[in-house]
Amino acid sequence: MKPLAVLCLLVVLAAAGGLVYLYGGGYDVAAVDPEPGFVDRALARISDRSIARHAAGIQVPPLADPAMIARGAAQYRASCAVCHGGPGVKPSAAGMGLNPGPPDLVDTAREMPAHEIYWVVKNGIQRTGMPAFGPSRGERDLWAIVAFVEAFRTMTPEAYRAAVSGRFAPSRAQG
Amino acid sequence: MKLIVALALVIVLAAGGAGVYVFSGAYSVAAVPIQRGILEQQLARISDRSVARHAEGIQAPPLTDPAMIRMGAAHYRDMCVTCHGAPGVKPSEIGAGLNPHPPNLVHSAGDMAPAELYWVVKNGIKMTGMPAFGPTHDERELWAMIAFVEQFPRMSPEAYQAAVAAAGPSEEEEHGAPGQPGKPPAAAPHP
Repeated sequence: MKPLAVLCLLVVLAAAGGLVYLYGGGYDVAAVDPEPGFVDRALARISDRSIARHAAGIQVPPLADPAMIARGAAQYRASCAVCHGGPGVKPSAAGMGLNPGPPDLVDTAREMPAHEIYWVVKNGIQRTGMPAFGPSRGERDLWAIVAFVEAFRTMTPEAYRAAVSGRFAPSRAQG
Repeated sequence: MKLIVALALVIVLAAGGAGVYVFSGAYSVAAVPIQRGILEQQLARISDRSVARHAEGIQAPPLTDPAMIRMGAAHYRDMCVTCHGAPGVKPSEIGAGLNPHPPNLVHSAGDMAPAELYWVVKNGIKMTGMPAFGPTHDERELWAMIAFVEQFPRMSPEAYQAAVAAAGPSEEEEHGAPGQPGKPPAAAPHP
């Protein structure tokens, strides 16, 4: 039983030490530390799994309608571009200063299924800079944003700039 | 010794259970509805203490110079009001949708010492929507924002509008903010 007792003591001491560190103000909450560590990666994984599970079963409407994409472009410019930038466009100072940082949505469009993107736009992600847009936007606007982001997969910087300035030409997005 | 073993068992079981719960995806990371549970309160407390400790030793300059306050007004309008609102101005949908909520600075400006506010604006707060503005703004601009926020407890909605109107055009271009769309359209077009 001796090794077990030592192990138990270590567990209790580690837990107590962690609390003293956190509640003594020793932990640095600064957002400027750029390197994602072990905890950040674990939290990202938890977040991904939560999204996958909670978004399961959401039916995706057709997202290729040019009018819908144009509607999404206007929404995107007003509510998303500040933090996420866009194809060929960097985020603003506010977006760049966030930790965790807002993902590049070109990657997101290629890697995340549309129904998960919809869930995130609607519900936000707690403990990040991603707000919930569900309380302020209807289904139609939410899906329009998803449709626009989905189009990022093949959108050139020129097509993006044209889209957010209200001159979207989906056929040119293929480059 | 029995107590230590029991305590360790509780810690290990709680950690294991929490691990299974969150890594299975069962825990919802949705920002809505907003939680005000014990965990959130404790995270806020940890954050407050971290800020207090890390801001120790920062000397605030005089914050009452009108030119400084004017400069702060321009930066506040460009970088802060979207999420925090201002005297007589509600946060936008972006600020309202964040979890944790951005504090209302009209009420909380007085809760935090200027040195602590400065630390937060410069370094941001990890795992919240508060960005670090240190990488993109210099000392003078950061302290100007604090000087402006320090005026809030005495600032009427009219005085706020007058201050941002008098603050002149945005200087954000020089900070390399190409993603900033400038003034958002009054209403999204409805094709």
